Amino acid sequence: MLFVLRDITKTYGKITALSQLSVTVPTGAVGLLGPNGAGKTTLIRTLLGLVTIDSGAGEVLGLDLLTRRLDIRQAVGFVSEDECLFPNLSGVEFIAYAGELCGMPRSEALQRAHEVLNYVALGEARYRPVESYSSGMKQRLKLAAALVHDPRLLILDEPTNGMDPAGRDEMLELARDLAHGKEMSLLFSSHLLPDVEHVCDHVLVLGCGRLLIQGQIQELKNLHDHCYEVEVKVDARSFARRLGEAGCTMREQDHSLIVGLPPGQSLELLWKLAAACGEQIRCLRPQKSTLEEVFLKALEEDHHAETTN
Amino acid sequence: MPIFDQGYQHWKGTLSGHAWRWLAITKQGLRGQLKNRSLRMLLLTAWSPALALGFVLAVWGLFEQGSESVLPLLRPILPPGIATDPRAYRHAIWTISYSIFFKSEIIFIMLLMVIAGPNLISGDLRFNALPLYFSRPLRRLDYLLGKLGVVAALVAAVAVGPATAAYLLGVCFSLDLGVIADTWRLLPMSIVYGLVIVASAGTLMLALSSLSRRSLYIGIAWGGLWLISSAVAAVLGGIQRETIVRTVMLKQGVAAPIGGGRGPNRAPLHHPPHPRGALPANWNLIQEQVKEAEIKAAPTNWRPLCSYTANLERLGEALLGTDAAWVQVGRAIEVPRATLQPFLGGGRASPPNERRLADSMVPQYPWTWSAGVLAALLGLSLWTLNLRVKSLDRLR
Repeated sequence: MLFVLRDITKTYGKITALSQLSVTVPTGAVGLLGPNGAGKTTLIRTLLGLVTIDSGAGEVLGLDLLTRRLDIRQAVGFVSEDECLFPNLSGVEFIAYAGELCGMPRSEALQRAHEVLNYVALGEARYRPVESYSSGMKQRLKLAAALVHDPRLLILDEPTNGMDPAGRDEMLELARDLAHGKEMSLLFSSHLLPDVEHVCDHVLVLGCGRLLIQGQIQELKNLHDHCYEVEVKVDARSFARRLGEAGCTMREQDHSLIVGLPPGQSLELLWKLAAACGEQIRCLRPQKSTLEEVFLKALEEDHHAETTN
Repeated sequence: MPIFDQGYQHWKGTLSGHAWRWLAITKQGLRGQLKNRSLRMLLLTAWSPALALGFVLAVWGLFEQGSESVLPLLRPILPPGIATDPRAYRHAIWTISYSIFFKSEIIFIMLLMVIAGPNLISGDLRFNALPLYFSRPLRRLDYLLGKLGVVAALVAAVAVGPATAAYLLGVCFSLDLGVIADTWRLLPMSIVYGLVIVASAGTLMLALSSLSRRSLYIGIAWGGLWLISSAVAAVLGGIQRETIVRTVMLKQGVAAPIGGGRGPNRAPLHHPPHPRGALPANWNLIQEQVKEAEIKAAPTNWRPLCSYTANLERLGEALLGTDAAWVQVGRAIEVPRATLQPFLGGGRASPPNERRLADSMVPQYPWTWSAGVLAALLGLSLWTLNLRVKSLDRLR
């Protein structure tokens, strides 16, 4: 398991950042989603052992959250959202220093710094002072600093902030390569759902300090496999009435119908009903939710549950 | 992709133990500080008192051996007691030399702190580096020890290291292993004094550095702490002396001087109290009574406590045992002084007082008072650091 949390609660005064959060996450690339104030940053700091939780327990990479904090940070690399720099250093000195702080000898830290800077494609800029870097270069630098000690878990908090489209794609490819090609686990926190979908296999959605939904992304999206998106040529309403009489569930979406087949029925039912009412089916495809729909639906359900309570 | 690009490689090296993580911060801090040309120049200049100390100890060693190169220079100027048996005064001379050396180095240490100290933590606050530090396997204690190590290295470079080197030089020039038996205490006491300076000045500077992201303000605050506290102590001391002079003169029935009197450097009275410029008949008696009153008040004189550097120096005097050294030298000086005083226009000869030099050269208030002041400052510094250097639990 990547990490296991049991009834974690963390409050900051009157604000509850995490509320009895229990989650078990497998190794691999994990996306962390949630609206502002959901508790994502607090969760990340909890995993790093940087906050003192009010109650609960857990393990990260098999290390106890409460008693092995330093060991956890030794095994974890963290790319923070905020701009953070060691002052008055060049890029390679920056990374070497980050390695030394993790216990690497100076000579090995320098060699390793060059390796990771090659990997993140910071070329000759590595010899310039880091204060002169652009936003995209600083993001790459932070990624390199997180990788220098070869962590088992890499936590990325909004890693594509401030990057141009090409840089963003490169950063996502690096993250994907680390997770799928280099056996490194990833926790990817971002507001950009396509980024999470591109890199991650598993996703957690937080809201108001609680876990709203979690699972493999493909499974969450495939929940709608029994539904189909149908477009007809002439009269969608008439066709919809026929579908309703046959026991199908329906809702309108833009210019198409989202049709849920009754149990035991196949696509043949749709063709028969279309032929019976003289309609032409112009488009028929299985409905696949985007991750955004999964996310919004989870938030909506949580909001509805709160309102009811 | 370049043909030499191997992609991401795993690292399989050995990590150092956790106990030494602070050393990485110290080394990096020193690398950064030594890029500063002003600091390098100051470090070089700060070695001049060390060279002087080494020179004095070497010359004394030659004098003990009766070297013809130094005998003609020193014998005429030293009191007879010292000139005839220099080995008996070896410990006293070495102690006094070390005391003067450390007093000189305190000034350089204060200047070093002005240049090197402000950026220690304020630079990290300005560039938001604390999350980078604390997301590593580092505790706040490691971070603070690492920063304090920078101060310790600089103090060692200008004070403790040169003191040790001068000691070895003095031993070599003495050609007598008995010098170690007589003076061995100076070496560990110098190291302890260096640690006291590091603990006090280092934590104080770190605390100041944690208060602002602008290192300029911190440098100004440090300079103010150093110079203004010294000025306040001097002014208070001057007021006390002025009061003593007026009291004595009133007791003697002499009009007190308007302004003037004894200045802050304890110089003898220069301003004749009589408006026509003539000294009163009992002028020498007045001077002696003023001195006696000052000596009597010295053990309870709290005014030097207002000066930060005076407190450091007082602790140094206590650690090195400078008072006893001056008493020993005083014994050699007082008898010839009492004999020669009437012939040199000093009026009636005062009886020999072996403590005369010690009372004028070494503050007589208890060293525990200075230790208390420095301990209070240390506590305040640690409290400030605990408040200001937040772990990510309390960062935004």
